[in-house]
Amino acid sequence: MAMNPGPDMEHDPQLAEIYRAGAEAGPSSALDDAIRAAARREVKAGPHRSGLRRWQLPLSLAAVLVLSVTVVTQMREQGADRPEALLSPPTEVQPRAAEQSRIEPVPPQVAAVPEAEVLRRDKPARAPERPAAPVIQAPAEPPPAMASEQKMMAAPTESLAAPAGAGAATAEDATGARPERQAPRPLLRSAPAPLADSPVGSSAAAPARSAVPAAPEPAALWRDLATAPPEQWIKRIVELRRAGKIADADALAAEFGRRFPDARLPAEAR
Amino acid sequence: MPTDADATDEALMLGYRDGDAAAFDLLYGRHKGGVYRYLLRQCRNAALADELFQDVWMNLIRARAGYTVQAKFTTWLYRIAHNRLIDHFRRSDPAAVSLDDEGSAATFAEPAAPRSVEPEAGAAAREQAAQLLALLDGLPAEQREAFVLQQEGGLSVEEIAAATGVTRETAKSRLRYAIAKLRQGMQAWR
Repeated sequence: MAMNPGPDMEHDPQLAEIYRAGAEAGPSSALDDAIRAAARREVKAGPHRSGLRRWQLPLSLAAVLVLSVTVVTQMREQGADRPEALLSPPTEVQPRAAEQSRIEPVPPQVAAVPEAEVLRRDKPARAPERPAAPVIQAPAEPPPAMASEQKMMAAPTESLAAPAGAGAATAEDATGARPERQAPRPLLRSAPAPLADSPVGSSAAAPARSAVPAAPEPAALWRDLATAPPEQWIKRIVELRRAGKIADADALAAEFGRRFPDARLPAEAR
Repeated sequence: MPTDADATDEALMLGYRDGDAAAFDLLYGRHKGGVYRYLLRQCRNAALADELFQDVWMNLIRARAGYTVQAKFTTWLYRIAHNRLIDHFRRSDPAAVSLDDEGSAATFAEPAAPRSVEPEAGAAAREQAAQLLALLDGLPAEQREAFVLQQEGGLSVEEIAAATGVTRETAKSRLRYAIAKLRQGMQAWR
């Protein structure tokens, strides 16, 4: 056989002819049928699926973009709040909560009831729940942004303050009074510092404010009157009323009534 | 819809993309043999060639929605087949896959010894073809691929380069080496 060694090195017609003579192999008819059937199935399901595929990439990209923007925005918002909201407050809250637990035993409402002192001595940890409401009203109303921040702070404040009242917690939980007490507690952290720093008895503002710093222990009101006659008690009560320390005056009057049940307070002392 | 037998491959593929199943039948009928033999020559296993062949056409079917005429249809089709082969070789034996022919360029297959010549012309032609195929089997895979793509797909050097992902010069070199070796091997049949 004569092969063509011509100049066309990339094509040889004689080789091609020989090759074609042996090119008989092909797919089986079963394979043909399977592929043709698959092609028809694809055509039948085609427009819908191909449409989906066409939108698959843009939709995925859009979803990723929206998710990213949302996450970044949220992180930015939280990041702006974080320094004051999450980092510094807990350090402030802890001493405040402890402070509060020390201060709270002198609420005016408690002093107004003669049995209050006895009850408080029996259950010292129970007292914190009552002054919570007056103390909360004392600080200035926080702006709306601060409100959400304070909500975020609720949990840490509660957990930090919990040890102070832990002794009475179980009994109060059973009565269902705890939720009312829990709600205002987060605000304690934003109570202004002067509240604790103000001198005893110097404040003539709200009853709670005057009572809290003035008399950590109610008995201090009448400690120097323990052996005094009723007139001296009356004189002290009148002085307190004139000075605007109504809560102290009431507490002293209640104690006066307990010690001198037969004595009557004059009108100016009531 | 261009479902007539004279339609170009590209027109048929566009027709199939737009939902004409008959266009696919025509297209498949035109190229099934070439693609099958291309795969068979490269993998040298009929069962495996069946599997790869089905995969190639299924890939084409799945890709129909995004089909646009950017090149000759056969170039695209054999590109799919080439990629499927490479994929298979990488999975089965990564070391066996050689994508460049630098190391094998100088390797010439040992020409098969001429078999006994039969008197009938038809038988002689079959013998010649068998001899050529035996020589083809002895070529390096890249050179064999270039030759088979030329014969089965009718691809030019540029199209072989596009289908196999190499430069035109590389494709040309592979084809030249393949033809030279086959010619040399067939000299014994003169």
